[in-house]
Amino acid sequence: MKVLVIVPAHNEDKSILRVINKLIVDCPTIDYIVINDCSSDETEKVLNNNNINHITLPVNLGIGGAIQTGYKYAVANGYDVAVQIDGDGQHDTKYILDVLKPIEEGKADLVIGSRFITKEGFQSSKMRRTGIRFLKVLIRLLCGIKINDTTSGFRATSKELTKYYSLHYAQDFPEPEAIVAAIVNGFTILEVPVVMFERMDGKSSIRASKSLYYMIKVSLAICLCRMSLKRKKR
Amino acid sequence: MPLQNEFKKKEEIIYMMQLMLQLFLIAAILIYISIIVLLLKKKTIILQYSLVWLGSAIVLAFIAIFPSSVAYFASLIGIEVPVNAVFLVEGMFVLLILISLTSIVSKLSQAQRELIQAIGLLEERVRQLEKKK
Repeated sequence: MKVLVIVPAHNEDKSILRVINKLIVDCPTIDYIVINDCSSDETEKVLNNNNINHITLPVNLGIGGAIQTGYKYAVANGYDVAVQIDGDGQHDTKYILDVLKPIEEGKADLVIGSRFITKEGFQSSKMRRTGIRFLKVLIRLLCGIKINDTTSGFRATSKELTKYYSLHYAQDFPEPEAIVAAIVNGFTILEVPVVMFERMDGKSSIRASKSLYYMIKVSLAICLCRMSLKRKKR
Repeated sequence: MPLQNEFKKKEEIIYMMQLMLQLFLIAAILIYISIIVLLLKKKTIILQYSLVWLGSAIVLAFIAIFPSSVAYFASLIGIEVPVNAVFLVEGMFVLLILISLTSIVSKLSQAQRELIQAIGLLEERVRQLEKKK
């Protein structure tokens, strides 16, 4: 199976090299692509100097547009599975194989690496956990499926779902909405336990002042997504 | 009868005011339409996007020429002074035009995103091809 790891990076010149080096050690047979989302720092230079396979976007698109670019790349190059990890080193690349497994076995279309199953490693701040739990309840109410780590950016998608995401992917704060879009379109979802680290450098894309806006926007987006699409049985 | 005279005078004033208002509205709408047509001629706005502007101009022109139509509408929904109904209709058109602008911007930003992604993918491919050479 051809596997592609998509690593979105926006101003990650301090951590991106470490992430990629660890990725190459942990999964030597897997291809990867870094999406440089128009970073204003030295990210581009680091990528070029170290011969890291990457796509550079000429205009900043945000995490949703960057990930979607990766899915488009996966579709164009015929990959069977696409795995998405963060460029800031929060995700431990040794769990990539765990996240991949259910897809290779044909058990699921979307596998989410969840930090709340074994409750090991970095668990995020209390406020964020509350937000994540709220989204969990909301998704459960609307779709009847229990997802613990709704905002996790550590996920793997099957070929079909990759194709779907390459055409339709949520923008701005895409993770929870993408889950709902997958459910509504009849894709199966599975969660596997992973351990996450606290971010080493760089800032989260969601800062404190934005969190209220984030919650309102994401909740609305989830409700809209649930409304606009009919559940298809495949 | 002085009281009746007074009453008649008042009515005349109201009638005059209405006539003035009507003339003013007609003049304003003529300017409005000529601005739209001018912009269309100069191709600074695309016809497709000016349709909602032209539509509003036609409806407002109709109201200005036949004020009784809006008077009927006003009494129907309980607006006492008919001219307020004209403001209401104008306000509704402004909202409509704003919504159409938002939808145009949304479409544009989607198209722009697709283009940015395509450029990124192409740039990567070019780099790979150059490496192979």
